[in-house]
Amino acid sequence: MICKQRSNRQAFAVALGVFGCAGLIPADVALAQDIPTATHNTRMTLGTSLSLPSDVGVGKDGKIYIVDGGNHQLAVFDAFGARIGTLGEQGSEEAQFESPVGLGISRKGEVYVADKGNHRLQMFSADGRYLQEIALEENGKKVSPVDVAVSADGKELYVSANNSHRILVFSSDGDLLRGWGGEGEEPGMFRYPATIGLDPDGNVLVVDVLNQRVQKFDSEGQLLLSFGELGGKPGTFFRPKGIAVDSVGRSYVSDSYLGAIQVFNDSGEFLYVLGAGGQTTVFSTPVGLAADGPRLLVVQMLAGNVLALDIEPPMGPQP
Amino acid sequence: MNYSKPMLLAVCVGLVAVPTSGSIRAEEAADLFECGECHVLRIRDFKSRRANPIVAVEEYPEEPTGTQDIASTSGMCLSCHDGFVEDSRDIWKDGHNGHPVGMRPSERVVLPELDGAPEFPLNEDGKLYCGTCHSAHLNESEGAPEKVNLFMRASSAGGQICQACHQDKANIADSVHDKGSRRSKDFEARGTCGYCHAPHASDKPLMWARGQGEGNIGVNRFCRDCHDDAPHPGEHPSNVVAWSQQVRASNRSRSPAEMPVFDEQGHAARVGQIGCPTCHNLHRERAAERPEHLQGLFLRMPELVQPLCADCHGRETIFLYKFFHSPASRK
Repeated sequence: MICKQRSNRQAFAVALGVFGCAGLIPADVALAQDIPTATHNTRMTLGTSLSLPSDVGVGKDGKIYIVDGGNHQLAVFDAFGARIGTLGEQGSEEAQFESPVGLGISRKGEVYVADKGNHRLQMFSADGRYLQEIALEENGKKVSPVDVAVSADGKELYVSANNSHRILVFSSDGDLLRGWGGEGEEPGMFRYPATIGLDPDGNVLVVDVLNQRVQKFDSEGQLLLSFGELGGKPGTFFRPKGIAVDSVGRSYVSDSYLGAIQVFNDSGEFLYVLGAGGQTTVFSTPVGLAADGPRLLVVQMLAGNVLALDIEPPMGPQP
Repeated sequence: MNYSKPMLLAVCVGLVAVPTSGSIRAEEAADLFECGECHVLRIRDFKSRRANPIVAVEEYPEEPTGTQDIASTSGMCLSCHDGFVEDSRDIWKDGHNGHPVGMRPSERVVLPELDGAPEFPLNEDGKLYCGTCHSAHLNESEGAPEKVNLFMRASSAGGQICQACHQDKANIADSVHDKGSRRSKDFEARGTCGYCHAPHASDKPLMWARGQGEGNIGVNRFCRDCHDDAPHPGEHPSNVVAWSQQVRASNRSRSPAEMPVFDEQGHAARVGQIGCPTCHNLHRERAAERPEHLQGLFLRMPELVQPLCADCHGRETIFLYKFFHSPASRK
């Protein structure tokens, strides 16, 4: 996406670029100032013993749940960043996990975990009690869930199916209601759908990893828009993984290889990247994201922690 | 002609999937097709000096020594093998007991060459990495079940990929310890080495893929997973520590070959405990060098000159061994 309004910073950068072409300033140095950035402060860092965490969510009373995938469990923190518990362990019995990846939290604070290796969702109450499992199948084939998002009314569960490249919608009772997608690069198809975000209107945003894009659907699966492509300039992706949608519909998308987190408006137009002074912040393998009011939670897989960031968008008009 | 991305990738891989026929190499294929999904520096946004990428990507040298460019760094592998696309997280997590990466090969390892270039390349720092054994452009498992298609640089059958570098272990092939089943559905259990060692699926030292029996020290328990009902001469007391050959060589000029001692984890140590592999080396039966009654015992020492045992038990231990431990003498 190209910003329609050129900021003063951009104009300055273009001017620098002109001088740069004349040999006064290296062109790449001049152009590097052109990307709008949102500054961020790290309010707290969660986790010191996490092993390859992959996703994060905020539950009732500000509890923070982190999928601690390498340890096959869920790490639970309070709103102030103190670890208060652990859910699960490795295995295939009740409340046990095998290579979990994503999670979703209902407005009541119920926690659903995409238990990928066990081909199921597992559900916990807001106070950490095991409630039920939902075995995932479509047409008799087991589903390997990567992520789950819970509708606002808590009645529908949106699941990204890694092995069939589809989005499946299950009722909270575990019945398969509908699904869409399949392997491909055409609009509406996926090559490894990963994390799912729901916007304030209930639309479903899916990170389509190897198509290097985000696709936005209505709750019935009608494609509304798509943004991103393979690339390195603002608005493009290399390995998009995590998505979080805030209360005004802005989408934060992480790129696990490049380490960048880009922000888009509800029309899919690029707004800015997290960084400072025109320089992108490179996070350590950023994957799952969660928007919690003014905060953004960022899972850093290789660093084995989660950052809670306060974001300050850049000044000036935005698309 | 329009190619879909999966098709391009498949063609890309397919063209170089028959290395034995000397067909198109990876870099030639990459020039023919859009391969930016891994070869990030082929993307115009990173390649052009006039581009303005959100993040600068460091260019890695693609050197004739066999080191690979940025497309085959471990970070690139993780960008898909992180659970969101494929799932190999066990390889990256702390405590993984798989094949070492991020370290230089030991002196015992011999890296073979193919057409003048390393067959198993190291990374830009000269260290082992994913691309040492794997290449996305190689598919050796043609005809094998899909689940065992692991893009390996050589076949696991007969321990080929392991023994290409670990040539000191090569004699195990076709020996009594070569128990790998070619028919196993489990890739790790296939081949000569996979019966005991799992390069990525083990949570035990030495990439141990099997169970453990009873024993004083870890390395003995590995042996006794199979040798649980065999007659044992008894274990050496675990509270006794001994010198390795590294230490003994300085004051035992007539010392024979290495008789390793082991730490708690089962790794050879400078000073450690005496275990089954102190005397036995199942990777190398030197039968041809031995009298008939000593063949098949996988003994390390070609002759009983001044073994480790003699350090504590005196030189008469050689005779004690001969008359009490030797199966021939007990007949």
